[in-house]
Amino acid sequence: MAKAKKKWYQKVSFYRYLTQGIVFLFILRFYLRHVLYMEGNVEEFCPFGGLETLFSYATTGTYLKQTSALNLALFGTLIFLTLLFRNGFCGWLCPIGTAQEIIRAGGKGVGGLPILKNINKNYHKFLKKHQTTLHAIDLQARKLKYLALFIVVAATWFTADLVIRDYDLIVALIRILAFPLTIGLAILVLTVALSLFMDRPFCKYFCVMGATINLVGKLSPLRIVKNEEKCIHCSLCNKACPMKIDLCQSNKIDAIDCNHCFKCIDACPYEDGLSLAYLPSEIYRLPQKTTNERLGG
Amino acid sequence: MYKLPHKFKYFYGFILLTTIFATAFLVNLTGNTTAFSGGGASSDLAGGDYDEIRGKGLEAPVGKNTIGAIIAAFELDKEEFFTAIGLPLDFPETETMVDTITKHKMTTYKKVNGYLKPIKAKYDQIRKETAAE
Repeated sequence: MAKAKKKWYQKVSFYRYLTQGIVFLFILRFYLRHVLYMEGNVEEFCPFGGLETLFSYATTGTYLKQTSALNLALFGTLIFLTLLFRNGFCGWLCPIGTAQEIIRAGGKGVGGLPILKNINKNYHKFLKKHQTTLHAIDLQARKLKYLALFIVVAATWFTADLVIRDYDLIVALIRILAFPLTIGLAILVLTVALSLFMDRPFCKYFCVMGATINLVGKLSPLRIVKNEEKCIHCSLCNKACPMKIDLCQSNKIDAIDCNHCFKCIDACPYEDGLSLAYLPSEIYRLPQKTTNERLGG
Repeated sequence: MYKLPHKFKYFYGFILLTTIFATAFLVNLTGNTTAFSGGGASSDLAGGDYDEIRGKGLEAPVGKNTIGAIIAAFELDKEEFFTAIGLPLDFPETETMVDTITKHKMTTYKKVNGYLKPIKAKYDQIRKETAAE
């Protein structure tokens, strides 16, 4: 039986927005302190800095410039959490992800204005017409971040310098007052522009931290699983997914890009339609009990 | 397969959040971070301000310049600066800041920030004066 409409406190989204809001405001405070008053170093909250400085710390016992023990500790904790709970960091904590969601909400708001009705209609027509091509481009472009991850880590470890800085969106944000014309600034502008039209473009195509989490997340035994008996293939979960993962065609959510935002769980009209499970048999090939066995027959 | 209870999804974010915040808090207790401190942004001042500092004649990161060069570039008062960072007045100006930090065994970032404080204060003052003009 389809469940009744959920109340606000029954939606996972409410708790996710709350968590995202806390982290976003926390980081925003330190960002403003850094940029306006040169106090504290907001870059030390970046877990990717931990991966970058890992080699230097392991071999010489020193941290790379602009990184500290905090980067390393956050990276280690994040890897631990990803192994236990998969990609929750991206969907629930990352302030860059939150910022993209805020911009996307703004984009939707502006796109819904009556004055832009025709443009919006044509835009959606264009998307529908070129759906196959755009999907193919999207799939290939998502591989960019893995290539970037390999290059960045190799270059940083070999040169013992944060070579990513000029290409880094976060550094571009920190240096925004000086307005340096770097590739990082170009990525920042592109991310803001794309975020108006699509969900989480930076996470999909550029984020090297996301790429690391995705790869580690594959090792986690936690998955979102679908109750096939209840699924009516309504595709509401597909529509809700910001990473455009096809949940309808699979009985477990094993896509590498899944950021565990649980929007699919919220969207599912059935109680117990989608749930969280450790070691789902479809992945780990555990012997599934038949109905007879379950009944003791 | 072990299905998690339904209510777990409501606590999912809370678990992640508290673990991350607890880590940050514990690292801050060790003093090996400048993220929470009120000191200078990092060992070469804030990365974002480095470009502006370059204009003062310091082509390498501040930490790699000699104390003399830094004093000259920021028009610092030598005595005041040396007293603030706890160096003897006859300490050689030719030492780089990195060497000084090593010699004085400034092992935590907080101590290094204390070292950078006079420079930062002077830099802030210069920036304010420039903005006022």
